[in-house]
Amino acid sequence: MNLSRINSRFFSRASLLFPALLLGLWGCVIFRLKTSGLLAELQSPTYHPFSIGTAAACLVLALCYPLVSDIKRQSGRSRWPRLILAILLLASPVIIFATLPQDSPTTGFLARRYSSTSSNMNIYQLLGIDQKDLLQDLQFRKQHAANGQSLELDMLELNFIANNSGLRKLYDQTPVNLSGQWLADANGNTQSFRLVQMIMFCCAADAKVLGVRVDGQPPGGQNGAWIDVFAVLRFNSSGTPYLILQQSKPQDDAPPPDLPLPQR
Amino acid sequence: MTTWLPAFQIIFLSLFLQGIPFLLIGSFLGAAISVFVPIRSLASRLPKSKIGGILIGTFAGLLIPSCECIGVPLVRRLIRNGLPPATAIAYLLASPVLNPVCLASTWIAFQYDNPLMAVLTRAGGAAFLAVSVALIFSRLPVGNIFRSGIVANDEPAGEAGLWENPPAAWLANKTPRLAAAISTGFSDFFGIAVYYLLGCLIAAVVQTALPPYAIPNTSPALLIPGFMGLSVITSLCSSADAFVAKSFAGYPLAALFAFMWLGAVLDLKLIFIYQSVFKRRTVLLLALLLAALVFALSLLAAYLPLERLFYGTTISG
Repeated sequence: MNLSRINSRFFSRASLLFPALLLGLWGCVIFRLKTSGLLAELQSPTYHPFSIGTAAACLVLALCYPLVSDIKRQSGRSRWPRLILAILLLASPVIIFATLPQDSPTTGFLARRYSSTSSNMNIYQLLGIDQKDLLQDLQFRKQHAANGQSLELDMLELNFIANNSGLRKLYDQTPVNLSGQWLADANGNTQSFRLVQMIMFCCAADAKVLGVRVDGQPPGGQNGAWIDVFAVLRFNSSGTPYLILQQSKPQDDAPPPDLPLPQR
Repeated sequence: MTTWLPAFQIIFLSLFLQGIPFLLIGSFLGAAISVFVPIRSLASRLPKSKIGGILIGTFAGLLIPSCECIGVPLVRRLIRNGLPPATAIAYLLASPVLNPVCLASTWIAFQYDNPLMAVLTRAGGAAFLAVSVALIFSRLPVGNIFRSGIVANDEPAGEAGLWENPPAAWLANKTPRLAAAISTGFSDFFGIAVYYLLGCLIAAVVQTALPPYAIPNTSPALLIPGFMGLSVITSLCSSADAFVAKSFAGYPLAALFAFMWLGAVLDLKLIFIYQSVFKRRTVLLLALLLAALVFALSLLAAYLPLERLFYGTTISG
């Protein structure tokens, strides 16, 4: 038996299978990201059709590739490096997918992205939110709320209030209700935690994280889980908002959000 | 490790998913053009002067919209099919910005400042970079710039990538053109996707390893390299980077434009995918050249200053 001949055939056949396998694997990974809801945490929904289209194209191309391919024989000189590279590339989607955390995929990412030097006020311009309308809406809601009534806010509104001295005075000591992902205090303080929400324009690589410190017992359950917080809104002397916790509730039946950008 | 790994995965996957559809589109578009469009006869109608060809390449992105992920596979295939290298380099460097999608996103991001000035400044800078680099590269021997098998009439493409199927061979075999286009697109996609994967991997590792960025608002001479470095590390798509740049309120506009000018043509993932077209030494030269030109251009913008053109004052918006 001529082993070198078998070896040569093996490599040439393996190289024929490789592109189809790699494409097929990535196609499956992208579909799985979509069905598990993780895609919403990686990419703005505007781009989901592109990703799904790519996944479908990957699978179709993987299936039809053997029908149209005419792969040249690879030179023997660099066979082993190519084989190692091929194995690494084939393993990458499998490893990435197998190690994706199931419950709180963005916790580590959120914690790292929480602080940056970029301004939060430009978000309104970039999202096309009319700041005059938002100001009037927040003033109207506060003035027409019953005494002691908990007002529902989102993280963008809270950030807007914190950057407007008039709204800060109006909303100081107001009971509010916010939802977001909770993160344990970075310094290990067990009497406070952070409530955060990610806002992305294109994908998670360009995401900003808005958040607020909550003084009170951290909720039970997984760090990074979505919760509803009922609290009293306060501001410190520099205008930074913080919440004094009254109650927190896990969003048991809440799937990962459809939109990383709060729906308005 | 508990926070590092998920952060790495999120950044890697988001970078990968951001570009891979466009890489696929670019590969198959280039393949379709190479099979169905007579590039050589079109190239022969380009202006004979070097600068004429370069200017056409610079502004071709307005007619053939492509971001950097579409541009690299497209240009790779077009050079192989006879497009003059200087024209191709100009298109490669200008098309990520001089295309309708990127210009529209820049307009939207700066809509409350001076959108027209923002678009003109960004487009003007991109055109300057493309023309300058293409002119410099046009003086170098083609064999020193491109990988073997990339330029038309060069040696067969077998060594250039992992899976190369030159369409000429297919057409000589009387293979149906559609099958030739699919196969060529496939091999082009794989020739580049490998580099793209590695680029995303490195970009994600670097982004995860670095602490949250904090650039002190100092003099432009220090801020500009800081923002240039940030654009290389973050590896953002040119159609989205204007939004990120605009979110850095309070910094001089020159630093924000340095971020946009450089980020569109040079970042960690692009350094890898450029290697599917250029020799490694050329990529290094290209990177140094682009960094030097962007730094000079941004310094000029800082000392104009750009704020006066945007707002009529020197106060940053």
